[in-house]
Amino acid sequence: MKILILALFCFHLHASSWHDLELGLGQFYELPYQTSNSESQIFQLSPVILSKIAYNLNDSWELNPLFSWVIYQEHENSSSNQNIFIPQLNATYKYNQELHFTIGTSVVIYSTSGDATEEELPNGTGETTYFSPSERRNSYQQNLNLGFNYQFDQYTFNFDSYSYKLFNSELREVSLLFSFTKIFEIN
Amino acid sequence: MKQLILLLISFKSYAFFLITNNGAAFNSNKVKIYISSNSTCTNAGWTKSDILNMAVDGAKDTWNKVGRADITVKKGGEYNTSDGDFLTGELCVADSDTTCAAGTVPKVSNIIIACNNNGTNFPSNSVLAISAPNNISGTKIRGSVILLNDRADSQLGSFSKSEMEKILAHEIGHALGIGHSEDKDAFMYHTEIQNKSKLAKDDIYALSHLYPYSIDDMSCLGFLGSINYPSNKNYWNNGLMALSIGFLSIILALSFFQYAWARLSNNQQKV
Ligand SMILES: [Zn+2]
Repeated sequence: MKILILALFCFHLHASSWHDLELGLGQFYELPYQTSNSESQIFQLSPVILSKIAYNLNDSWELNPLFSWVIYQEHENSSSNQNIFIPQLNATYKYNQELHFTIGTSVVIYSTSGDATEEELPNGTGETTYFSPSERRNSYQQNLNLGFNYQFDQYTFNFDSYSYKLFNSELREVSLLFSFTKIFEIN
Repeated sequence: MKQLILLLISFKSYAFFLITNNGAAFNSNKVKIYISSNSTCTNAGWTKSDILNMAVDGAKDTWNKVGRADITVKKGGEYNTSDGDFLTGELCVADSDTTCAAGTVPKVSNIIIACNNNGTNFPSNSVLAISAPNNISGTKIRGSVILLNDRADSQLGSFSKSEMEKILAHEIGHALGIGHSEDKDAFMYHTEIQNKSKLAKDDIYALSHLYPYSIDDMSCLGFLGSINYPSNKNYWNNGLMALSIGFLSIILALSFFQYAWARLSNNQQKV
C-alpha cells in the first residue's frame, strides 16, 4: 500500500508541477459546543494561521496540501492552553477561474497543555485546589473536509468544513473555518 | 467598523482544571459505573436503580458523546458490599503517596455511587453531591466514588429526572479526573449544573486531555463511521496512512463518478 501511494504521488509529480503557495488568516468555529453567555452567542472566535500549496493535476483539478493552526487564547492566570493543528490534503475542483470546490481529508490534532498551576476554585461550601495540565497531550481525529473558495486577484476567500463521524448522530463533530489567504506564485 | 474590530480581537479565554497535578485518568477507555448495594437513598429521594440509570443516561448525553476523547462510561450494576463506610464515611482523596484514615469511604475500582450522610462531606443540604477519584496510582485512576447527599434534609428528591442526569454527569466528570471550570457555561462549573444543556469547550478539552486518541488509534475513514484500519503500531505511521487512504478513496470515488458521468454524457450524445 505504501508503494502504491508513493507511486501515485510520483506519477503526479512527474505529470505536472507545484504552482503556488497561499498564506492567510481565518476564524475557526467549533459548532457542537455551548457558547458563552457573556460573549457572542452564535460563535466563539479564534484566530487561525494557515498555509496552502497548490499542485496542478489537470485543467480542472488541483491537489492542495494545507496546514492550519488554530490558536485559543491562553487563560490569563492559569497557563492552560489549547491549540488545534490540522495537516490536510484536499482535492480542488476548479468550476471556473474564480470558484473552486474542495474535498479531502485531514488529521485534526487537539493539543492541550499547561504547567500544573494550582487554582483555588469554589466547591460546595468552600474552595478546592485544582490543577492546570502538567504536560502537553494530543488527541488525533481524522476528519472529512468539504468546502469552497473564491479567488480574486491574488487573494482567496476560503470556506472549509471539517466533520468527524458525519453519519453518526451521537459522535458527530463539525467545525467551520472562514479564512482569507494571499497567493504567492512560486512557479 | 469598531464593532468588527472588537469582534475579531475579543475572543474568549478558556481554562480547564484537573483534579490531580499529574493529569491522572482511568487507564481503560471503558469505565463502568455501579451503585453500592447497601445504599438505601431514602433521604436522597430516588431508588438505587433510578440513580444508576440517571447517571448512565447523564454520561450518555455528555461525556460519551465527545468524539475527540477515548472514553465511554457504561452501566455496571449493583456493587455488592455491606461496608457501612460507603454510607457514613468521609470522602478521602488519596494518591499513591498518601493513605486515608480508618472510617473513610473505601477505595474502589471503576466508579461507585453511594448515598452518604457524613457531615464533613455534606456540611449543609446545599451540597448535593461530591465526587473524586479515591484510588489513584501514579497517573492512573483505579477508582472513583460519587457520594449523593442522603442527609435528612437532602434536596436531591426535589430535582427532576433530567436535572438529576445533569448533576450526575457533573459528578462523573470529577470521577473521570476533571476539576471545576471558571466558565459559567461549563458542565464543570461549580453551581447551577441542572440548567446546563450541552458541554462547553472547557469540558471537551479537559476530557480530550485526559483521554486522548493516540495517533495509532486513528481509524481509516473514521470520519464516515467505524471502519478500523488493522492497528499495528510498528507498521508505518498510522496517522499518515489514515490520511492517505482516506484521501485516495475520495479521489477514487470522484474519478469513478467523473468516469460514469462522462460515459453517461457520451451515450446521450450517441442517441
Ligand atoms: Zn463539582
